Parts: sequence; structure tokens; C-alpha cells
Amino acid sequence: MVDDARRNTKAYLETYILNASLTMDNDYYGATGAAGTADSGSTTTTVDAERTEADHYWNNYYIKFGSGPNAGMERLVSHFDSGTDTLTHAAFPNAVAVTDTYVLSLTSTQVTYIVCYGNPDYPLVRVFIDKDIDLIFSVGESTSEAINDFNYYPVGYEEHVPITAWCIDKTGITGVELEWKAEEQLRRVTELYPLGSVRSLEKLEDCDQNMGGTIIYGRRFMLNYRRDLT
Amino acid sequence: MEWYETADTNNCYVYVDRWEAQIFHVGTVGRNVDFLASYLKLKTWKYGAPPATAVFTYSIRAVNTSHQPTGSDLCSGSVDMSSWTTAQTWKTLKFTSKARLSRDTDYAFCMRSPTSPNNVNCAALRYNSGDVYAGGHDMFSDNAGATWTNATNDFVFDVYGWPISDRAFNTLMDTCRKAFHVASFDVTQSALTLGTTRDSVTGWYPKTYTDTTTHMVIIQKESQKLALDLGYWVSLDAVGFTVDGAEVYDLVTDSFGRTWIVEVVKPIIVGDIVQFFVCDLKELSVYGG
Repeated sequence: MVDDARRNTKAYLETYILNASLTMDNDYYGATGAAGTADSGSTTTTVDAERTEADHYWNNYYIKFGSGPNAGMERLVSHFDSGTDTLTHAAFPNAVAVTDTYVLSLTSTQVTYIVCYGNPDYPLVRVFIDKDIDLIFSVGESTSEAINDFNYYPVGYEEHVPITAWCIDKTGITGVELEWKAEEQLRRVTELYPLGSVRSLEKLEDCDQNMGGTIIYGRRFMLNYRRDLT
Repeated sequence: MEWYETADTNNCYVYVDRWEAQIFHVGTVGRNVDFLASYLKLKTWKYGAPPATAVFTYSIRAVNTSHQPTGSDLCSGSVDMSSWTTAQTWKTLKFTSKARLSRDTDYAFCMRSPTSPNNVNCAALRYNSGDVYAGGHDMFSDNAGATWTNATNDFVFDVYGWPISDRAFNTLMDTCRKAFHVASFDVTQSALTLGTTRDSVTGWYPKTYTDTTTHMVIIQKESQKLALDLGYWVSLDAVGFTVDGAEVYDLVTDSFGRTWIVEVVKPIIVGDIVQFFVCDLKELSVYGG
């Protein structure tokens, strides 16, 4: 039986944790394919005369901007037209402008993660290795307590939902770095999406497990909700 | 145990009936010993947008006199590509069932993705366009492995597992056969794999099991003296000896239908060779075993 606080927390994390902002370091995946400076563009296109490769050459590459209003963001390239030197990609929030620098690489620097309840009835390490998952957010059993006024009259309640972020060392990024990225992401979510109740995140402890050849890194957090009786 | 990992220069793709394979010869680069093939490391990624149900399958097969894959899979595994990205990364792929590969022998690993619809939405692999691995070469098939066309390239790969000798285990089985009139040590080993679709409530992957027939000498706790004579202690309900490999949470069913879960696996190593694996087993029983 899954209580509402746990169910809400899982849905909350699944909705607001973004692959796009959980990014690896640039060296996590392979080498850069090319670099250039945009001549013009829009939110979904980048035009650059330097791109002299054949049609479709850059399909499925990622374009990441190093300067301009989209600096630090990356999007998947869906099409390259050599006749017009145009890369078509998923939409950036801002139009690509002349002099914006970019790199093209066959990389996504994004973390793959899942959100689950508790622990599975099989070794956790199987998920990392068999499923190539980078990060697991595990939502634990919640507790709640009443919030009373000065007359001990209940005016609300506070729920505490434990969350553990699990990860292992991956090629190009350590488990410790992944733990920090998980924490960074949880704090971003609670700050940007309070969703009608006061939410705060406490870091409780690290719970790393040395399994011999593999270390499973764990970091426990407590997500606190405050709600009134309505 | 056999590998070429140095330089990858080109891409190739597997989809529908298009398979790729690489011949390797045990002892070319690595140690020339029998080994229990457990993992295949490949540089692979998702190309385009294959369907969410797309699966990448890999296996090892024997090689015929024409140096092409033949027969059924000696061991295999598969991975769903839904969690793959379009980044070219090294992936460590585990064989669900293990195979003991013989020293100084040719084998081939085969790769396919029949659920990928075409060559722009499929699984992709990196290879070197030269003949850089001395123990074999790559090849492809356009009819799901029925016939093969040789090429002169080599994949970047690593096939590895425990170096193993079955001499001590065979001695153990012979001793038990003579002493206890045992006819067979066959058991059904159900290897745990994780399913594709995550549970809609818990978010975890479902468990699935793949059955293979292997050999295991199982000694129950009630026969503790027998285990002690061999130098082992039955710490749970039984202890199992095998050279076929086992993993924690695998299930083992003996000829009487008794089922055990593998709780601990310990390789028994002498020098630089694994002699056998000792498994601590817990019986699954409606009587609370």
C-alpha cells in the first residue's frame, strides 16, 4: 500500500526532475564532432556556412551553445541540409543569433534516472549495470505529525518523505559527482516548484555501500511538506 | 579474455534481419585458458529513434570450418534500448546464460536488433576499418544469421569472464557418483534478468528468469558432515558446487522439484584459475524453509 505522501513525491520528482538540467561534465561522453559560430538562425535552426559536410551528416548529433542567450544548453539535431548549411534541432528557448558559438558532438551529456519506491527485491546494482541507469531516486516510507497552535488545536500537519539517491561510478564521472548532481537537482525542484505547500529538503547522511569491486553511493534526504488541514 | 579496444573509426548498424558478427580466437590477446564468458563490452548506441520496445541481442556461437558462426547460441543476452542515448559509449553487456569457452578455439559473437525497423532507427556499433585484431575479423548477414559475408574490419570489443578449469569439479562429481550412486547432477538454473517495462506503481523493473540446464552438486544442511569432509560449511539450507557460474538471486531447481535461491556465490580460486563456484542456497518452501 502506497500512501499519498509517497505517491505525490514520486509523481512530483518524475514531473520536475529534468534530464536536461541533470547534465554530466563535457568529457563524460566521446569527442566533439565540430565547433563553429552561427551566421543566423531561429529557435529551431542554426545556419553556419562553415558546415560543409554532406546532407544528414549531423543528424542525431547534439548542438550545444557556448555563448549567446542559449549558452550551456544542448538540443538534438534532427536534420542537416548541406545546400543551405542549416542544422534543424529541437527548440531552444531563445533564437540563435549571429556570433553564437556552438559545438556538435555525438553526445548527450544527460543523466538517465528513475524514481521508485523503496528498494527492489533484487540487487540494486543490477539496475545500474543491466539497465545502464545513472541515478536512482528511491522514495521511502513517509511519516507525518500534526502541527498545533498555542492551544494544542491542530492547524495542519507536516509530512516527511525520505528520498535516497543511489548511483555508482560511471565511465567519465564518479559516483560522488553524481550524488552531488542528484542533490543539486532535488534542491532545484523544491525551490522552483513549491506547489502550494512549504517544501524543504534536508540532507541526512551518506550511506555508501562497498560491495568489493563496486561501490554503491547513497545519499539520504528528507523532503518535508507543511500543509494546513484543508 | 579477448579484446581489441584501441581505435574505432567507423559505424555500422543492426536492424531487422541485418546481423553483425566478429570472430575471435581464445588466446590471441589474452590468456590461452578456458574461460566462462560472462560479459561482452561494445561501443554502441541508439541511432535515430527506434521504437521504445527495441531490443539489442548479443550471443556467442561456435565457428565452422569456413570461419563463420554456426549452430545455436552458446550463451546470449539482450538489453532493451529504451534507456540508451544517442551517445557512443562503451557498454558492458552481460550474458544471461554463461558459456565455457575452450582455450585455443575460434568463436564468434553475433549482434542483432530485429525490433529496430531500419538502418536509420536502430542499434549502432563502432568498428575499426582495418584488420587490426589478429584473432579474427568481422562479418555481416542480411538474413538473420543464415548466411554470412566476410569483411576485413574488426569491432572494438572485449569478451571476458572467469578463467576456469573443470578438473576439480569433475573429480568431485565422480567421487559423489561412486559413493552415492548418483546418476545425474543436472539442475535447472533460472537466471535472473530484469524485464523491459517498469512497474507502473513501484517504478522498479520486473524480474524475469531464463532457464538453462547446468550441473550442480547440492549438499543439504542435513548432510553437514559430507560438506565438512569437502572442507565447506553449509551456512544456509544447502551449498551448491558448480563450474557453470551462478549469480546472486538466481534460482536452482533440482530433479525432485526443490527450488533454491542463490544467496552468495564464491569463486574458489587456486593460483590464477577458478576451480569451481560455491553457492550458499536457501530453499524456497511453502513450509517456511
